[in-house]
Amino acid sequence: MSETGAPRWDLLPHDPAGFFELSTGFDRKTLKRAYGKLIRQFKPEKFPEQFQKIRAAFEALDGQLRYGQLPSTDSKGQIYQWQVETAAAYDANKSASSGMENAAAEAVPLHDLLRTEKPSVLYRQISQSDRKTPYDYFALAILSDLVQTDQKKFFQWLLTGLKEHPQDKGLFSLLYQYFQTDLPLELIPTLLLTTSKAICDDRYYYLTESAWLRLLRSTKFPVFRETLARCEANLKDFRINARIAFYIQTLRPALWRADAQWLRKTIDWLEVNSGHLPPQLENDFHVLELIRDYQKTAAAFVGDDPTRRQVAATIKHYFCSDSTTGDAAVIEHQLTLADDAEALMRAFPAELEDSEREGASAMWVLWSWIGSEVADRNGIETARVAPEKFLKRVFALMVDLDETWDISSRSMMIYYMVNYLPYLLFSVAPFLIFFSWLENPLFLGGAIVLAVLSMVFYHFVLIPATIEPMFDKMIQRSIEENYLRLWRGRFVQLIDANHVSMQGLAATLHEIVFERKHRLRAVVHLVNYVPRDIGIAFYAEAARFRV
Amino acid sequence: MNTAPQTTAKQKLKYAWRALQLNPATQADQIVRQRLIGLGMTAETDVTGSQEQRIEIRQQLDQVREKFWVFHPEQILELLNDLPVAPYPELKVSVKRMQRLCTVKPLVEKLSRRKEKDINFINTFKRIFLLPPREAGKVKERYLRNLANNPAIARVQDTVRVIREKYPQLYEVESDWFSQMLLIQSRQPEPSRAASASGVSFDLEGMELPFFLIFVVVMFAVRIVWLVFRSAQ
Repeated sequence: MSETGAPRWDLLPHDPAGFFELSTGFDRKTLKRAYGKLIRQFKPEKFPEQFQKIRAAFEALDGQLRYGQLPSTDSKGQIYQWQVETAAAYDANKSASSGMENAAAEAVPLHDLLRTEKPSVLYRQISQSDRKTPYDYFALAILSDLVQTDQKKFFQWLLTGLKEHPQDKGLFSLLYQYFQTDLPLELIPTLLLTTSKAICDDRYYYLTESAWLRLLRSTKFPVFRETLARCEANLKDFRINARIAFYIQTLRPALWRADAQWLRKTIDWLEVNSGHLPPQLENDFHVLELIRDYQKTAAAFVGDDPTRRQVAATIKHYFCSDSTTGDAAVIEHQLTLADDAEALMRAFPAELEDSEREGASAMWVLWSWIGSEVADRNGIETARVAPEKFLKRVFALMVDLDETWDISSRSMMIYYMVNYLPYLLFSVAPFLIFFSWLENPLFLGGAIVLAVLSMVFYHFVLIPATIEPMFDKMIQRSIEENYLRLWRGRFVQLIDANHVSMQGLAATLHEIVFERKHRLRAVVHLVNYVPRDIGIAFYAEAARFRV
Repeated sequence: MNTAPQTTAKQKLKYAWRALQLNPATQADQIVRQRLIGLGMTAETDVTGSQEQRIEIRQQLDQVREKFWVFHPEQILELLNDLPVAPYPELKVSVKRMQRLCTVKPLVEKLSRRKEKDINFINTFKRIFLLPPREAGKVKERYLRNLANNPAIARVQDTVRVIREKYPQLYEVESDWFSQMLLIQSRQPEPSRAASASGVSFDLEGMELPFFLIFVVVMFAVRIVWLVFRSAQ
């Protein structure tokens, strides 16, 4: 940021690392933190253009880091020199041929020549040149759009240029951006195959990843599988890390679209090579595990419940779409869920059957991961209230709910009878047994001792062993009933008003019950119920997307 | 790629002229964007234009909210249907909700005319109806928190029951909030309610032993009285 605290927009797009104020050797976590900080300041709804720029810079850097490519050192001082040589050379040639002696000294840039010369003439001149510079290939690619009807020529010139100048960053970046565009689907296999013949090293995966993902998402899987096999046969010199990065990324949609055989083979390969897994990909690898865990249990858990089915459909949609479409689908669905809390609570009840627990948990873990990703990418904040203020609100609610905890008078009567009647029985029984001899002080004393001992025995042994557990169960049941009937709904309303995460709510409850030790009765048990309640968790996740 | 709209030679030339001045190593995204525009594969204002549209739609929605109670539902629906919200998920959901509210708007008006209503509750409901969700959440929670001590709780709950029975579509709009309102018990001091107002706990909080000692002492006293009585006979 500048001295005024504003971001250095002038550093974009050429120095994204500088823009995010990242020091040398930064990792994806640091990048994500820096991105999050900026995105909270420049929310998409208020600063759409700035948001686009920040996101584009983040995605470019993140892509490089996934492939273990440290962001270009050029951005740290050594500016990559893009030599604009053609214009001068062309000008010199042209002038020489027309007999002007000092024309070479007055080199006119190529873009200015376009004002006076026909593009077809310039195109022909440059393409006929024996030794072409990277700028020549760049110029030919651009001019081909003006003089050729085949739009593939643009791509072909860039690729030819890269064959000739394999290390040229300008041509490489442009080809990378070209693959990022919405290319015609039927053209993609040919482009990928042609590229694999020209760029056979590990850069191939990074360069073409976008096009592969599009192919995978939009065509039948065999097209992807066969094209990939043919392209990989052309690759000769690639690091295993690049291939791992590529497969980890492509498996996200592939896990939903690929055939079982290809999946097994690919996952086996990844597992065999997990020793080579670079640290920056550990989290991505973990996400694949989450998806697989979810897929194993999803069908049984989802069943016919409409809300669960919608969540399942959105999860699939998210992984099978590009990030913009996927994010939009998730945001829309989260808002829909937040709008119908009752349906959500019915779909994810507080008490799940044992058979459903695993499926619900796998769905929740994956859903919350997706939620965090989408929220981070789109600058959606979680907590809106200060922790102390929120703690006061939760405490006020707990006090309120504690007062609603009601036990029926019948249960109360049974409790007092079962608990206190034996005292009477044990204290009276010895006197009744020795009734006829009570005038004898020995018997009177014996009866008193027996009464005292039996009451002590009852108090310290029988009550803890029998009556207390029985009533604990009864109390527990009563608390459960209260939670399901009344308290759960009030927590939904609390979340609706404060937009806190489940973790934030659980931590606050814990603090109230264990650390602040406020005098509360039944509601202290909320600390066991709320954090385990998957319905509340889903609701908290959905409510954070509300604006 | 999008199907190419009409593109002129002049547009292409403009693209080439601009692109040739850029450095592909650092400005590749701009070159590609210029190319798409120049070849007519995307509109020049696509990226920023859509964001501007988002802001514009939001403003239009705010205007609809302001005039919600004044306009006829059909007029509002017409306005809402014209909004191009498809690419904006948050606006899409807001519009969907507004459309739903339009269909139940006549029911709110009918409810307002009923005799057994609680007017403060109706006003809060009408306010919540149109507030943005985050704001509405706060109002709803505050209302629930204060309801137990509200002297008009019985009337409020009767109104909610009327909504549930007579206007189920309206009840659906805020069903979670209404359900909670029906579950809340009054804390107003009423003779019939006094005994159970605040609930009862089983926990005697360590009073078991004193209870027991008092009991023993009483038993002793009874016994002594009885012995004294017998010896007197």
